[in-house]
Amino acid sequence: MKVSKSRKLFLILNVLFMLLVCLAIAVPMWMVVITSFSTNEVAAAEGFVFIPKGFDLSSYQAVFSSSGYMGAFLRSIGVTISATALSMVLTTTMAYALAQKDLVFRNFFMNAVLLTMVVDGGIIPFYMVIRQMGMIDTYAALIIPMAITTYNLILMRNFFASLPESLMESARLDGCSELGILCRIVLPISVPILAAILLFYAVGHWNRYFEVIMFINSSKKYTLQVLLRQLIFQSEGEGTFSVQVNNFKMAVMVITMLPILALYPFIQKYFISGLMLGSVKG
Amino acid sequence: MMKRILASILAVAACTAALTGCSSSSPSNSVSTPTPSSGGNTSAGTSNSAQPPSSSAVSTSEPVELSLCMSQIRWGVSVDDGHMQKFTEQLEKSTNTKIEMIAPTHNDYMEKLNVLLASGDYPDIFIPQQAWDYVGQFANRGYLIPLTKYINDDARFAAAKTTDLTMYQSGDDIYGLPLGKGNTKIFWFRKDMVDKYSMNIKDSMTTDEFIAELSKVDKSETIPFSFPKHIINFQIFYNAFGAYGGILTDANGVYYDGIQTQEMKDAFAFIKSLYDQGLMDSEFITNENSNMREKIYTGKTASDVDYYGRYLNYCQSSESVEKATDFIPCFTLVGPNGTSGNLNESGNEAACISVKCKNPDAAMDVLYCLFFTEEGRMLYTTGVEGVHYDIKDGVLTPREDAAAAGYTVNVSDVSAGWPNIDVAALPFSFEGVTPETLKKNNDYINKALSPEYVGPIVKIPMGKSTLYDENVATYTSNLYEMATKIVLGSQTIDEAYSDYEKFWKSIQGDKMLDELNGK
Repeated sequence: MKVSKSRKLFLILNVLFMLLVCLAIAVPMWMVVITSFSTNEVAAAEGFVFIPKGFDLSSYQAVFSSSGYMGAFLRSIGVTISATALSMVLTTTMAYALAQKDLVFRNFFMNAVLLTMVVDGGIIPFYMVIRQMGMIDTYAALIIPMAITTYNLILMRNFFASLPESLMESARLDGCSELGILCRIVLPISVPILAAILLFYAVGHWNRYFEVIMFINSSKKYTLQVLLRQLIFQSEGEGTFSVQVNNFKMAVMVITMLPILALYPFIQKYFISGLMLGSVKG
Repeated sequence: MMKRILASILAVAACTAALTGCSSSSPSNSVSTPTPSSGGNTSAGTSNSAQPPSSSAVSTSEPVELSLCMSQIRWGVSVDDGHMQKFTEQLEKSTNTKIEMIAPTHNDYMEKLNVLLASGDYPDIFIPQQAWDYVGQFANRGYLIPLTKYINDDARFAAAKTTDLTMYQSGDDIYGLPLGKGNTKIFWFRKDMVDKYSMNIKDSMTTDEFIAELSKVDKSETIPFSFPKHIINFQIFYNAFGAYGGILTDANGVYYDGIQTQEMKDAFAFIKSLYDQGLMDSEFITNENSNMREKIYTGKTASDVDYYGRYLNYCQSSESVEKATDFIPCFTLVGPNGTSGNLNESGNEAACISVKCKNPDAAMDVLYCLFFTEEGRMLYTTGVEGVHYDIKDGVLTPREDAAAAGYTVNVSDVSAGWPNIDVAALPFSFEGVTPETLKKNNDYINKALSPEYVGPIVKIPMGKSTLYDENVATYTSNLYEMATKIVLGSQTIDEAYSDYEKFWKSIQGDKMLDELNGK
């Protein structure tokens, strides 16, 4: 098939644009990783290192030997796993229910859900709700209120709505319960969307920082992201005198990125198709 | 039918769960900084004229439960909760209290405190940053109890009376307890850069000399002068021109607007010329203090503006990154009219007690212990022996685990509080601090706080003018915006002042001045 000149030009520009986007993401990540393996001298002199000059693991040794950072790392993992699990359960069941065409008051429920996308009460009412529910200074404050993200819910609901009704109908005829249909029929054929939503939730919960600061009072419950921010801005105050050059900061940053980087390859193959499938039907 | 009912129940349950707490994504990451109200109380629902109860209200045998909200600085610069816990335990032991410590990270502290206060979750004791602004505002909103009685009648707090307490005043009462002596910012120069570029740095330099010396730096390899993003720090330049970024009084005690003066225009022109000539860090508007400090101790910049007690820290920091050098202070710039003054930040820190505190006497005991006794000051600035540090061969040495968690000691800070602690007379010395550097540090501190160099600070007590109370936050943020636009060149000085005239009218500036002047 003959490709027109304008089409060729478009493809070239497209590839160039995508390359630029990739570089914009890859270069900072490269510098973070390289800086984390640099010596104090190099990191102090250059700030962020692009071309490796020496190899030094002392920053990682310092992070791994710090009970503070490692404790926060484990807390972050615990919160992320619990919150993601709860999010997946609630989002899946709610999306399945909302995908049912014969659901009573379906439009009302959908509008109520959509309302939360555009109306945000702000942090103070949010804090007061959390306090009223007795969740201040508990991990529950980081898990329950953020359990469902409306965007993810709609994505999953659209995917479920796009599944052939005949599949569910035949299961019902065979006497399968709604929960059984969800678990035995719907979920096994929804792996791509589940993987995509799982990643969204995991990243969201892992990166959660602001809510930790607001809802958690005891520093022993702080997650890694709070400590990372503290590290980056550690000498802001007049009374703070701690000195850490960039290699240590970047080592903490790399460790902060690791769990998500490790998770991504396993669900990458489902990721794009999951997003596409979820967005087809409104 | 059963299917429908089941599906409906499922949806109702899920919707309820979603609507009670979940949001579309995450909550807004911004909390509006409170602006002063026109007076009266908000959520507290309590009068701001509440008087502290007598100390006999609570038995001394049972520990008193108190919540203490302060940012993680000094004692708390450690990511290890065990270290922080030991500090709290030590404080509890000294004061017979049970303390719930709320210690967010420094950068997020005010945001957290504002949320706590606005939602009615008042900590018993808290220490606002920029206390000169916030204490009055918080008092006006009814968050605080007056501390006038304690400050005036309790001899333990006599030292606090040596400072200007009007900045913590609302009406006739004082609501903030200052936590330390004066605090100023001065110019710091790296000696290796001074030598390399043959700069002549003096204790006091004229504005022309300042530009001339900075111009000697090779801009292609070093930033001549770095500055933090905090526009409030421009006051260090305003002082050289006799200008003041705010409402102030003239020699006759009459209030006037410091922005609408020729001196302020001259000061803006000077800062702009620093920026336009490439002498001032082109990235200053995004510089956190931490970035600026990193730049100076790693030798990326030749000079900066920072607190008077930074000498030892700069020396130690530059040494730790293999860029060791000495540092030379310049205490003030002198303008064309002979006016001068460094950046006076006295009163930045003050403690407050909330109206929800059940035992203000015990809260004051905690403040006394922590900030007015030698033991408390040492605990606050150095932490707990055996936990944060050990004394090895007469030297205070951070413990390995504490150091790994970010713990350091600021020697200057030890003597910056109310108790007169002579660091040189302590039975131990500090790691990396020699008698010579300690002497230099003390000399610099004394000079930076001497009346010869200290710049002005004007804080109008809340309650003098309703319009002022309502508009002071907007007025200040407008000044910062205006200064930024002028320096970065997005507006000329004339354009900025034309906009300012409109702003002044919008806040009824003239009427505000009349109110302040009692007309």
